Amino acid sequence: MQRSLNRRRFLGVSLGAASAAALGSRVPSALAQQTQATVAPAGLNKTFDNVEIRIATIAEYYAYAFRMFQDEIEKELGVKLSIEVVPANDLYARNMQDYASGSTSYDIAYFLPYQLPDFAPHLDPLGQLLDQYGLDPQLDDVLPAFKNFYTMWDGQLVTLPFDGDHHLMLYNKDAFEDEKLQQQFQDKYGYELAAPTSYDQYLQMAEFFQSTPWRKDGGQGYGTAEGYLEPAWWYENRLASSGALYFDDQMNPLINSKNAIAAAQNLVECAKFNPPGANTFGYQEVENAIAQGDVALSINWSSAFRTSMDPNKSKVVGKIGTAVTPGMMVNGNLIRHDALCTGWVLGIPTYGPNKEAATYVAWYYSRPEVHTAFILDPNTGIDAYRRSSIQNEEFAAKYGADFVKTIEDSLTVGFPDLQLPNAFEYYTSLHNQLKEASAGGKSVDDAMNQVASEWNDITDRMGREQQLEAWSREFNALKEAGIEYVPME
Amino acid sequence: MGQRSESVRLTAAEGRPSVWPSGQAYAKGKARRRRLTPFYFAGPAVIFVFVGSIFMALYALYISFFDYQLQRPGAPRFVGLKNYAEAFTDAKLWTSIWQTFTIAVPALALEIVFGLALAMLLNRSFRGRAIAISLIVTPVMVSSAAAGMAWRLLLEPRYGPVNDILSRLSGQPVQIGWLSSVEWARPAIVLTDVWHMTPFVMLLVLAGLGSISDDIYGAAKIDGASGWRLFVDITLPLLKPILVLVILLRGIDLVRIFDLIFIMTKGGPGTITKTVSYYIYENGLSFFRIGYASAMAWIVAIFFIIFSKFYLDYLRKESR
Repeated sequence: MQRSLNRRRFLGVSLGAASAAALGSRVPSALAQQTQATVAPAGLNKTFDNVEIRIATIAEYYAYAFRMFQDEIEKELGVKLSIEVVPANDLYARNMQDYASGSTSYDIAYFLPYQLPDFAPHLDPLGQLLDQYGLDPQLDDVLPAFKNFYTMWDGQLVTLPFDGDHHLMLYNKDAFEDEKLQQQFQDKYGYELAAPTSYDQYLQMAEFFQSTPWRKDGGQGYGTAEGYLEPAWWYENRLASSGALYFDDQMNPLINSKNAIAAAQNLVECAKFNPPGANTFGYQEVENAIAQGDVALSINWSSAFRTSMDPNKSKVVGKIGTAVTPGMMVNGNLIRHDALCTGWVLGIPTYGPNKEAATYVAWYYSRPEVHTAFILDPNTGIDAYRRSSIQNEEFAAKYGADFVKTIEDSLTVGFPDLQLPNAFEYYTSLHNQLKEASAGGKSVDDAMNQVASEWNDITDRMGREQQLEAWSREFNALKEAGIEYVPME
Repeated sequence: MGQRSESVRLTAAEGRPSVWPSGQAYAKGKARRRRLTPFYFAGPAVIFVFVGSIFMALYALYISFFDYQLQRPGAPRFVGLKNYAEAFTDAKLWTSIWQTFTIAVPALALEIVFGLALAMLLNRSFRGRAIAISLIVTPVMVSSAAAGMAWRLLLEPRYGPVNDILSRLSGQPVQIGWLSSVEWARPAIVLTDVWHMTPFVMLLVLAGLGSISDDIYGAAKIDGASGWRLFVDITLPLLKPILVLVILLRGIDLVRIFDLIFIMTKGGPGTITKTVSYYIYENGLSFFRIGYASAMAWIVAIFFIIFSKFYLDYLRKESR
């Protein structure tokens, strides 16, 4: 019964999507009617004469966030915003093509921080622009993990954060707080059922809930859900927790080190306890699996928890718990890091015609009041990067003190993405090999050796010296943050 | 303007300009205009083809001699044949060519078999024939991208109708990850392409069947042939020119398959469905290795031109 209902619902959603596409022309006006937030800054004495600022983003939930303040920005600054939604990879390609010809389609560059090395040569130093226009980005309020890794390049401020992405672990309380299940688990594995602290436990719990009925509504439950469409983001948590880094200090890949292979092995084994088709799951599908109550455990961006608390989207309001992602035992010590994967930042392209207005708009969107409004609204998909926003009373009241604590704990152990010129190609190689290993197409060892070999090829082609210089920046920043390679014995 | 109008005024008696120097010169001019007329008509198309295809191809050839990586600052570096040498030793390129054939060959074979069968079935008069043909050709009307998206939904593991039908038939839950499993991703692409393009093959074969005279069948029947022998000895040989055309058209289309891959699997899981077009696209427009992607595109183009030439020569010899 459950199955056929779900299928009907699925077909309904598909038909709905088709109808929505057919009615595409009506969508923008409908979206324009979304709630407009107002947190206008006091004493802003600059207005522009109806200047248009073009921004592209990659998903409707980000466009929603931009639109939240569209009217206010027009009123306060006299700036009209043109907001476009473009697929993520297309946006990167479009920007790179524009910049190669010394032009830009967008006044504000919206990109992933791991692409900073590709974007930085085409951005104006934002710190200088902000000083010039007398705008305070309140960087002291930005958590160090994001400030250090996502906004600075060559010792200069070049971007402002927009979305403070990071992973955390989510678990379904129906599964974890059931006394019978707790007893069964204890009998089978010999330790207490609770949010896992290591990936070995995570794997065992995923296995347990895959084979043991746990859903209260009688539906088919699964062990875990992670995004195997681009598995490198989910792998990064494990890689960092395995004590490995992307490269050693001489730019030799550590991705096929004993640590990194152990991390990959865990990810690949967990794939067996995902819902069918998880190889095509991205962020959205994982979030849906959590919100529909399909999975007992999951790792996803922290916005997934906010979605689980939204009665319009979730069947499990109040039933999801959060914790820092698990760690790995390395030489007898538990290492635990959450990936600060992806994230979004705003920069000002050198080639834009309206850099002053663009700087004002980027600054506006990174203001603490605006960021707090973003993270309070479950429709934005934006994660916290400001201390004041995380500590906001309304935020704690809405989502609970446990969630706030998880975010705080998680961000003290954040591990950044790989920041190299052409990092996209390094990540594509990692995604592809992990995907193939997860689908059973090759062994984990072969996959990771292949990644190491491809990474070396990319490095040689891009110029080892240039890549080493970029990597050294990240390597040193990691060292300063206390993150170093711990060879597995 | 006034002066010119005056000089070319026509006289009613002669029907040509009164100021024309002589009848011979007029005839010459007319002949020249006639010679040039086709060029006026063809000109825009020729310019379009030149700029849109030939110039682009030549520019790609030019850029293939450069190390041109978009994200790397500075002008492209001339590297001679280095990109070509790299392509010849690039195992991933050859794997992608092999993977292209593992999709193209079964898809082409199935499309021909099903297309031929459908055409034979419809090559007779019956009530509702026109409607049946119209319904069967519907998939061809759909763009490849739309076909890919539709099949991605149909093949969805948990809620997709394909697994649902299989579950009902087998009496147990079937949750095949069609697009996410190493075993099924390629068959799923083949299935989608066969669904999409078989009607096209059927239409061509149907046209070919229509051109075979009933007299030939009549004569063969008098000689005692029937059923299978008619098909093998008359229908197939006479359809050969059409089938050669089908193999060539569909073959070319299949070896450059891209849209279904892009929509349905993005070359995955891993690199299992990464075809040569997708691999070149990825290098050129995702990794921005413009020079290298151009070199690979030229190698593949030359490879297929030579292959097509040998194929056509072989068929020509056969038909003799």
